[in-house]
Amino acid sequence: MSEFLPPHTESDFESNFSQLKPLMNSTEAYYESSRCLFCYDAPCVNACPTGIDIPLFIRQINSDNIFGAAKTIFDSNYFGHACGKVCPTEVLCEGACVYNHSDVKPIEIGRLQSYATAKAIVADKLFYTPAAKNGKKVAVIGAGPAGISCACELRLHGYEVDIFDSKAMPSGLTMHGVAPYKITNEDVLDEMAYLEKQFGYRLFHNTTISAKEDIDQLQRNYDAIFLGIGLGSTSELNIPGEDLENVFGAVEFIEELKIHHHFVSVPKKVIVLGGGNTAMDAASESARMGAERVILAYRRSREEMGAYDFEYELAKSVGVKGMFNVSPVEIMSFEDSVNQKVPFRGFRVKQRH
Amino acid sequence: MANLQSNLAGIKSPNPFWLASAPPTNSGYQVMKAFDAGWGGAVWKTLGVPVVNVSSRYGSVNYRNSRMIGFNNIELITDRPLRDNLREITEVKKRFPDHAVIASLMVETKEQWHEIMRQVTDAGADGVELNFGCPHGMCERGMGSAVGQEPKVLKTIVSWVKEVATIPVIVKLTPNITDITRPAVAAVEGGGDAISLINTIQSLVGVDIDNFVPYPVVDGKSTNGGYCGPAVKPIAMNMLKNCAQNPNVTIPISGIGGIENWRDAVEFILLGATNVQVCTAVMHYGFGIIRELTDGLERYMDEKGFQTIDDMRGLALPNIKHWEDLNLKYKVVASINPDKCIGCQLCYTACEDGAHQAIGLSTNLSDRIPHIIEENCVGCNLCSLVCPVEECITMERRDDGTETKTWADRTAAGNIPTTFNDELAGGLHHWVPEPGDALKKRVPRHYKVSGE
Repeated sequence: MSEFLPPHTESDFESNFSQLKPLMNSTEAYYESSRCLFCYDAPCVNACPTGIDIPLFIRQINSDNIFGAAKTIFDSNYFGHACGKVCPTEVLCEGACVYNHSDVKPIEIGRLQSYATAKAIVADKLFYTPAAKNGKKVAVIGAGPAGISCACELRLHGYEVDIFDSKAMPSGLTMHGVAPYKITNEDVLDEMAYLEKQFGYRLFHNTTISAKEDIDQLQRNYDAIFLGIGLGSTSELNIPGEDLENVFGAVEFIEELKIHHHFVSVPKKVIVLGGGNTAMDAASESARMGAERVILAYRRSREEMGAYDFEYELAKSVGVKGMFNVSPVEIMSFEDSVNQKVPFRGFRVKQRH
Repeated sequence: MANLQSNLAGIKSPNPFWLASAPPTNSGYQVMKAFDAGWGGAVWKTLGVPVVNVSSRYGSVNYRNSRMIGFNNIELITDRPLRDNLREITEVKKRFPDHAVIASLMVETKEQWHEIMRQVTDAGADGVELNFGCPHGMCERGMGSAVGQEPKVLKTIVSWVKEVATIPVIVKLTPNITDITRPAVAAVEGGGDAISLINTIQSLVGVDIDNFVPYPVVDGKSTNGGYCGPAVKPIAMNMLKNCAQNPNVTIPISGIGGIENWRDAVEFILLGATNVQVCTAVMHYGFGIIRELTDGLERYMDEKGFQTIDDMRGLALPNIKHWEDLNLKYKVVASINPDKCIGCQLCYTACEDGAHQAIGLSTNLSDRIPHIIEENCVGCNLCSLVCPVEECITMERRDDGTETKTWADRTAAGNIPTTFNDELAGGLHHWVPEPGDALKKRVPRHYKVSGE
């Protein structure tokens, strides 16, 4: 019996994918923010790819200036809320927290960040207004973190911005590629709506820019084009059987799950090929969707895996089993005993020596 | 085994921990419960003509995640009839004959003082404490701190009480006065048997910044309260020291003010207190803290070899001097233990912005361990105080301990700065950076830089 039963309702799904970093309440935020040392030239800031002034926003939370804290965060990162929940804080800000050096639990920076930004979003506290039009127009391709952030910044300088995205909803990987236990779709979309309302860019959904003519047209109509197209689909294995039914790329699987939740059916046995963070997500998610046996097969050793340790630990905690130094040679389909075709019954592996 | 028994001016109790006159001693129920828990004595909530109180009576100061580091109240003396209190005092004494029950008193006229003294003595109180400290409400009516602030009046009232007293009289002093020793000496002159201090300090603990009214709020208005709790302990200890060192204060002292654990109590005793009284900590944590108080005190006394409280009383007093008698040749400098340092750099920024620019950072940004620039270090202790790691920054002695020269010595020798640009200025040869260097300093990228 697996730890998770296949979810049949949205509430089952939510329970299987309960949030790893649930929203703090005000008491928790107050106590946690009290612990911050307010380091000089704080290592957490230097570890943050967006350079958020973390000690400042924590001090603002502690002095009950929650909107001030939210503004500090958004000033450096328009995806402040999503990043608080989604960022691998264990290896970034929280990993850099000086408390780690004295074996004291680091400050829960990510959760404090989400706490402050959620307050601002829920209260609809608007901090930004676009500058007066400067007469220039920019097309942004891709409504992911890069595209949206670029649009926000341009609007502050008076550019008109149109964003084109192939999906029906904005935020790119945040919505379509991040594991559901890290952030809910509602959280993501609330922040997107909050930004759109303040910055007033135009979003064109279900609009794929793929042909040269599309680009030509954009070039004619806009003063500049920003490409925020991300990394795209899962890389291919280039082995036989890759195109069999029930063989998916992890990115596509996660997207399917993010959009269709409990309507996605995951079989009892799942093998995930790869050792990166996306592989960990796919494995964890399969287990949480009720798969009884989930194997993570990686071509090199445990130590060489690209995934963060805590991501692998997370996968293991829901029953995922690691298998190392094996690389797939072929994915095969078999006919089972009742003569029913079951694709992807097995795969041949090559042991690494 | 240490003997915790206490004797304050003839009032005996099994240990030196008394409940101060306050809400925890409002009733016989509470006092009995406290004695049963292990408290040595209780000063009853002040008796007098019963008052009428307001609703909404307390306010507190919270610091970060610590609640009630300071506490204030606008509650008055007892609002219960005297006969009820007296009946309960008798009942408590009957059940706990060896514990100290002290009646705190506050009345106006000589006749009232005489009458209430007779009644509480008849009820079986072991002593009385004259409340000349309450700094809110009662003082508006000429009682409480209004008396404590007028040594002559205080002396007169103490002498009235002593005219009829057959039990020890403790005089409780207000800290809301420039020189606490003056009412202390007046208490001695009036015939008081002991003094107790401090009562609460006049205070406003905070302001509701949305409605522009201080706490505690009483129907949109407020009034000053009396401040107590851990925050007042340093003030209380200094006043205790002032009284204990004064040769004219010849009567024992009951120490009060922010005592919460055994260490606080030991400090008060080392500063000359014969026993201690506790209120706020009980209002916060309940009577159960007595377990920690007695255990800690007993353990400390055993470790130090003190048989009785008297063995340790006042031991810190000889070490408290006037500033001019401190040794100017004593020299300490900070030392950072790199193995313990966690790289928060609070010492750096504290010294750089708040002291003497005697801590430097490595030019290698990944090396976060600051270093002491010893020639700049004046030994102020600040870095060691802000450091969040125990024993990471220590202050190390640099003089060889053979030389002693005080300000008084130098004054006597005519070797002190006397003019504005005197060559003898202590900081004359101490390096300070040029003002303009401040603008060239590397600061973290997220710090706002003026003009950018």
